[in-house]
Amino acid sequence: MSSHDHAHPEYVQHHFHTAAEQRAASKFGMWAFIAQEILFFAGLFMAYAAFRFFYPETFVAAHEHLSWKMGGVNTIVLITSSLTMALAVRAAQTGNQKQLSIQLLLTIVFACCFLVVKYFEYSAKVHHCLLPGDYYGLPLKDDAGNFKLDAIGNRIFSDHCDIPKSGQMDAKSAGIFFGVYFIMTGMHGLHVLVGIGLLAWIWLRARKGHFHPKYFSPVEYVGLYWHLVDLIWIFLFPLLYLVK
Amino acid sequence: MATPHSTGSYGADHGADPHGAGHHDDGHPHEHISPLSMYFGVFGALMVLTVMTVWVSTLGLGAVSIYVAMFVAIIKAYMVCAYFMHLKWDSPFNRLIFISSIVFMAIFFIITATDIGFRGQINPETDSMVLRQEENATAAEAARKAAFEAKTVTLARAPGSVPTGVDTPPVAVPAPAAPATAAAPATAAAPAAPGAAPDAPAAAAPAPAN
Amino acid sequence: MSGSYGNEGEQSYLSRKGFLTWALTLDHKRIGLMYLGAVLFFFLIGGIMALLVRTELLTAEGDLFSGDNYNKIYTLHGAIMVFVFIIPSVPAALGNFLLPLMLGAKDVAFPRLNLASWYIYLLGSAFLIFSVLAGSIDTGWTFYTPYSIGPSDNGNAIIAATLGVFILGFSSILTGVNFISTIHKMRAPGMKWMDMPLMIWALYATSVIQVLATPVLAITLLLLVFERLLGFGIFNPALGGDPVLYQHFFWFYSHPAVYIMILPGFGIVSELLTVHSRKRIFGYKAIAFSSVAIAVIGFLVWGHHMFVSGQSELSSTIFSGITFAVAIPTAIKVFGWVATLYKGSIRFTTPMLYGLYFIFTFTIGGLTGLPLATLASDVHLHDTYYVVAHFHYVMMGGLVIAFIGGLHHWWPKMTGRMYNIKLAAFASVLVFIGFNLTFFSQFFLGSQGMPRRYHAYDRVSESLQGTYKFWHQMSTSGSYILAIGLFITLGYLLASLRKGGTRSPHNPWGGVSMEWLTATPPIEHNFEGQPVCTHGPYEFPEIDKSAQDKH
Repeated sequence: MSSHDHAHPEYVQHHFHTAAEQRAASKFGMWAFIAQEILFFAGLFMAYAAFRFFYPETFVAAHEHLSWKMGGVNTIVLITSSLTMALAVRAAQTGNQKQLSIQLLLTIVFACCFLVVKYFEYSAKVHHCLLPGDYYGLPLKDDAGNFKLDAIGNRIFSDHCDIPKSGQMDAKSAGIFFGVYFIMTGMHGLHVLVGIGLLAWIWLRARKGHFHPKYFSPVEYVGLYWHLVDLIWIFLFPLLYLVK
Repeated sequence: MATPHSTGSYGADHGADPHGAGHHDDGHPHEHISPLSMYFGVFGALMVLTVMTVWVSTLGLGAVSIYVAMFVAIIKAYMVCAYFMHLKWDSPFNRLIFISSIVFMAIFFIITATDIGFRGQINPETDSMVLRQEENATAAEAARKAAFEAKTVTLARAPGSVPTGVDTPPVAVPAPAAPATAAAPATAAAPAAPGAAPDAPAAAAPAPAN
Repeated sequence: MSGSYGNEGEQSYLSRKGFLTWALTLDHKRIGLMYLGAVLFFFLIGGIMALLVRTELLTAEGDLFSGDNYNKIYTLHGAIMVFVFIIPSVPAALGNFLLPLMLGAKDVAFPRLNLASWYIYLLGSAFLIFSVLAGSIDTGWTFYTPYSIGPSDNGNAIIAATLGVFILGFSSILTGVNFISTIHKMRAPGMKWMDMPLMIWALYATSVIQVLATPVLAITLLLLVFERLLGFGIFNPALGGDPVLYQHFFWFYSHPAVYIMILPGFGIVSELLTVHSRKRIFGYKAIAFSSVAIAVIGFLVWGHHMFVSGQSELSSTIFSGITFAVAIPTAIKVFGWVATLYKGSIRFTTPMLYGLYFIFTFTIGGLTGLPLATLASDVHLHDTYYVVAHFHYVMMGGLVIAFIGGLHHWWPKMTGRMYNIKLAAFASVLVFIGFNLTFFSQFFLGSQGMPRRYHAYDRVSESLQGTYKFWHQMSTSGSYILAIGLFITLGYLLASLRKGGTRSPHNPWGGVSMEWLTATPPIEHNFEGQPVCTHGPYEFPEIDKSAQDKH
């Protein structure tokens, strides 16, 4: 069973015998990578679940300060980008170079939209001092760097921090909620950012005509990654923005 | 709209083969190419489900809404995995990897829940949530600590409730000792003040402890 | 097996010279060798830390170090040994070298990722080293909260070390992804799953754990860094967080990581015992599947590290019960190995000696785990030297012994040189005696109540102090013997590399698995042409095949 009947095409690395072997191995590896991504986010979901169990009232109260409209818009943006990504992969499969390039570009545009919306969302949180842990309500400090406390030992929030000052949320558990919120969305946002980089790389290669129906694995794997980003957001959105 | 795109420059070499995946060459992979209608169909369904999730959250289903939301999210996730990520047509081993990652995630969640959900169930005196908060109560937090102990006593009298107190309905908790002590931080922190606790049930439960 | 041997004229993978040919190599064999150098270096550093710890405990008073410095030294010992020595030792060093050879492949599936994992490993190690310069950590290798988030004058060190381990995790994940893909998709023609050497099965189970557990450690440590840098509060009780949650996160990785450490050892020992007793392995399938079973069960038992941490009683009970299940697949392996030896033509070569030591020490390590799995007795033994002895019997007596055995077994294959055989046998005896003296004494210490992590024990009663002192001195003298044995080993291994060192015969042990098909040392592309697998990995020519009866 000799596998060297024909010369290696340039896109098959030397240690693989055939394009099929290379593709099977690399796709398998990509799925293994996706599995580890899922376990990575599992830690964040676990933290969310634990503190939601510990502080259900705060979670309900605090989520009112997240904008479900922005979250919803981002959900739609991300799902649409997933569609364009899937279409890009299909274009690569069928060898339609023009479509491939257009769909990849569209995906990049949607991904950037996501981050723009995220930026406005984060600015609103910062504006209202809805920040994690020690930064919740930007508590005042004395010269020695210790938190100033009022008569009964509560931290004193900065004057412009209307929501923390109103006292409608317990400061500690609200700090935890916003910690969980920022880490979950932040890690997800980081994945979006990496995704944009990967998409740009694939787009440049696609313009050079690197991909064709016999070799489009990189497009497909970036696609898998991008769908994963979408997948995680599908869970983040109801958990953070729609908790009741 | 189910016709494939016209083949591009490279694909033209394989004009005879509409799939362009090199059926004539065993060294090359066979790929499943889905019709465009499938992609748009899945996309439409995802949109509808997204709107549905938001709509359900406004119904005020209470505790049930999270389960509905998760159920819808799982359906959406399935559609993304099966159709967009082509897992439906992928090799069984790749499906296995994906499923096993979900299984191990579930192991992580479920076993940790046997701790978090059951602390102090057997022996309420060793409830670590209670101990932890007591340990951290500094001298300056004496007033809050008093309120907290009052709450613990309340809970000890009501064996049905979860000892951490966080699960009990908001109305049940702020009972006897709470309003007096809770009013103090409220006045110090904000003008909303004395009436705040009963008026805002969401905030009421943590209030007596803090 | 058919396939061609390397000719005299064919280039050995070592023949190209120059720094860049190493720094930019995609050859799994060279990457494996670089890893080997690094892990041995860290083994040396971690070992020196261990000797310092042992020397401090020679006397009851804390006279060599202050308590704070002692904390830093044992933390460094633990962190270095676990994260930069043991975890990469067999998979990344030996495994990288052997896996494609044993499968009859030209390289691992993703050679560039493999090189990337090496540089990521270097970066992570650099962070760890930086943490030492920045004041060193004193939290224990587990980075438990609140030690790791409380006020500390070496906060930068904690952040550096945590980030270092975070980065090392990615190196581990990449290796795991690489190995799984290679094993699944790149076996030589004719090699079925049940034709793979057991080493490969063990590496497979290890890789599965690396891929599924390491990301949880990554997120845990990231949360810890946020906690420390930005006061996020998730693990900080003062801010409403839950420190026990940290332990769940940490041990969800770190208990399976114990199997990342020991499973490759099982693989090596399976190879050593069969090759050097010229017999088929007893119960191939049982041993192969028990590796996978251990990997899976390993994910269900992490809470036995937390019996006294304040987790719920329900959890403790469940974890205690499941923990006993680990004993089943482990015992299957031990029985399989012993049955393999039965009526074998045993040759007491150095690798074989280490294989035999492994059965002895690992069995002790395994059995002493049972009292720790038992909820009630663990409350007594927790955080005493009994625990220290137990895990050193498993890690050092299990993995490290297997690693050294494997190193001796494949050293000729990797370097083309043969070490001084007599010296090797002598050193191995020193290692065995020294090891047992060091750690068996600690079982006595622990069951008498000597706690871990104390640098002095002068405030206990006179008689108890005498007992502690006796066993500590036994333990410390054992550790010196062990160190001498290991230094001799390092010496003759390095000496074999000098110009004019003894050249090894092509196949010194008469192994029949695929790595022995190619030249010694292997040629650059592993095999000339594609080797084809025609028989199992343990079909030695000496085996009398006239009777069809399998065992």
